[in-house]
Amino acid sequence: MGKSIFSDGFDLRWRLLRRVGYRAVRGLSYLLGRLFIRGSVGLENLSTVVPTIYLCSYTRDLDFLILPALTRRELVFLSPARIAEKGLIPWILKTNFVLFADGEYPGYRFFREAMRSLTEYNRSVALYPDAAASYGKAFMEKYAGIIKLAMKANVPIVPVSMEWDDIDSPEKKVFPRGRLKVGEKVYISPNNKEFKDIFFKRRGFRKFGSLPKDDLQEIGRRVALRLRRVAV
Amino acid sequence: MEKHILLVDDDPLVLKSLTRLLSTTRYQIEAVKNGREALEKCSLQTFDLAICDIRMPGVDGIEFGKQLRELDRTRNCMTPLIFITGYASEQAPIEALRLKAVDYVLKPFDIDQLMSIVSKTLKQSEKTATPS
Repeated sequence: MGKSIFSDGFDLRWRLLRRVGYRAVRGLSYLLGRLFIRGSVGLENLSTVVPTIYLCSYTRDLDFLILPALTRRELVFLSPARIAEKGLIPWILKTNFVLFADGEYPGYRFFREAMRSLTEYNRSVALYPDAAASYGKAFMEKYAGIIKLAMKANVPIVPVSMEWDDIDSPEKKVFPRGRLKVGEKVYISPNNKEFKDIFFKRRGFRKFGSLPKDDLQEIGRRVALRLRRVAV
Repeated sequence: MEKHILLVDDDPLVLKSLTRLLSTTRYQIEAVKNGREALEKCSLQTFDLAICDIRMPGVDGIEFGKQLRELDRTRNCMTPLIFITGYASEQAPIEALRLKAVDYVLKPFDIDQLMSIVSKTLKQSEKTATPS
């Protein structure tokens, strides 16, 4: 009997080809992303050692291309499923990992997969677009889930925003370029002065890691304010 | 010379992330899940630093600290000790002070802050070990 075309040798070559293809597309998207960047502020806040949670404020589809081009480390996007139906985005998605909040991994599984990305695979996570608050999932409500994720994984949150030059000068619409603005790292910790009042609000013996939902949402509100300050 | 750090925590997430982070800064990490295992390790070798969680099943952080100090007395040395805890309690920092801990860090922690405490402590212990 003849050998199947899916014998070990063929399968290995096919997988190798796919990997080379993936690397090529990723490299291309990296170069494309660099083309759109005019300048940047606060790049030193993009960590190379510690995985990070990026909170991205949405301006246009191209934002999706910029962040992977700057961070170099593989990113996991946390997005609503409808984002995959928009323009260029499905193509760019293929070069990064995406967890759809309301698709494949709803609820607890979504949280667990995001946690695994940060702690086991050492990948950074980006909330894109910042409509995270409108995903409608209970744990994403007012960033509470993201705050919990940052606390459990002991990782910082970094607000990121893009500023496009064609917004003020329409003549640049043919080839718009943008400036990336990266805010300071925020650690959700009782050691952080910004959140001390929340962590030490209650008296007696208690666990810092298990804050009630309203406290998580208050921290989320303060982090969101930071993102707004970066975006303006 | 590569520094040996003992990491004791019953939370696998903390253990994993700290091991990965401290390894990137060229420290040699020995990670264990409880106080008993930590004491076994300490009886076999000396460490340049021990980072220990306070609340653990079995031998807890404070008990481990006490026994480590006894071991240190027999060896005539002082292993720097950093305590980490995820609980708010008034008793734990007092106990940590009694055991001459270098620092007391609250969980969830600021990784950058912890890393700077670790490097500062290691530099200080190096200075005291090699007097000019």
